[in-house]
Amino acid sequence: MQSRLKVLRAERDWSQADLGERLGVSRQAINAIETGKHDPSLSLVFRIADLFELSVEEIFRPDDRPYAKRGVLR
Amino acid sequence: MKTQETGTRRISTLAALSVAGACFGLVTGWEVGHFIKNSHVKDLSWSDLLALTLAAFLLGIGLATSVLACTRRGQAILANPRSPDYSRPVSRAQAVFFGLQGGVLLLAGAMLATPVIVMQTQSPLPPKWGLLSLWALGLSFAIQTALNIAVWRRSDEVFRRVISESGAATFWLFQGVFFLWAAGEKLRMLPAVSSWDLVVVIMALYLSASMVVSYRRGLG
Repeated sequence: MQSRLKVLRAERDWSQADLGERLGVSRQAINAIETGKHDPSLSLVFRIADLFELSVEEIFRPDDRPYAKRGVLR
Repeated sequence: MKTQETGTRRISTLAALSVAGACFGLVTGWEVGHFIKNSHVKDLSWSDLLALTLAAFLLGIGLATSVLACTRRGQAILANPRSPDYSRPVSRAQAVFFGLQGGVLLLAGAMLATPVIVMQTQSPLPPKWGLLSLWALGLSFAIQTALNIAVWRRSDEVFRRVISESGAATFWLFQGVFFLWAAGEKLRMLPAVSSWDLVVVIMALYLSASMVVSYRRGLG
């Protein structure tokens, strides 16, 4: 799974720890999601979408439907 | 914005940690050397040696975690070892989580070392020592189980996944190896192993599996 989590976080000048605190997970969990080493659960995906006020598809995409360059949805 | 410790403060932190590590190493080395000198290490079985090695590893990591969990600066290091943010206090829940992890590791190390040390220092083993040790181990096991449950309940989904995958990997590795060994033993091709041997192997496999899984899940 691919995500724009790192970009969205950077836009708000949040550290991984900041984002983890807002979502109720560890900094390591955020790092694992951003580096593609962990696919978040549905409940966490929706919490992330709610936090950024975006749809799930605007934050996460399956590997076979990657983001176009500069993080724009295809 | 994240503020990282730099300059003199960072050097003093590193110096303090180095001195603390050296003191701990000195005491531990002295005690281990004393134990080795007074015991018949050459007579120890491979599983006893492996158990003591694993116990030393667990006690070392557990002590470091427990000590760091006691201070705000230490908690910042545990929260982000590669780039600690000393300006940002970790939450109470996270501090408790680190303390629980330290407790689990310390108890695991102590429980693994106790049977070997008791047998080495009390030979022949008086029955009351055996009974006392077994009671102590049973109590430690109960406390460690409670701590493990508390760790699980406080973990997020990534930590829980690492714990689950480590357990699953250990089971599949162990049942495969154990089956082949048991078959070899049945066919009188391999020597018998004791339940203590098996427990030590399980612990070694679990530690190895958890390190690999943690690294693969980005917790390394």
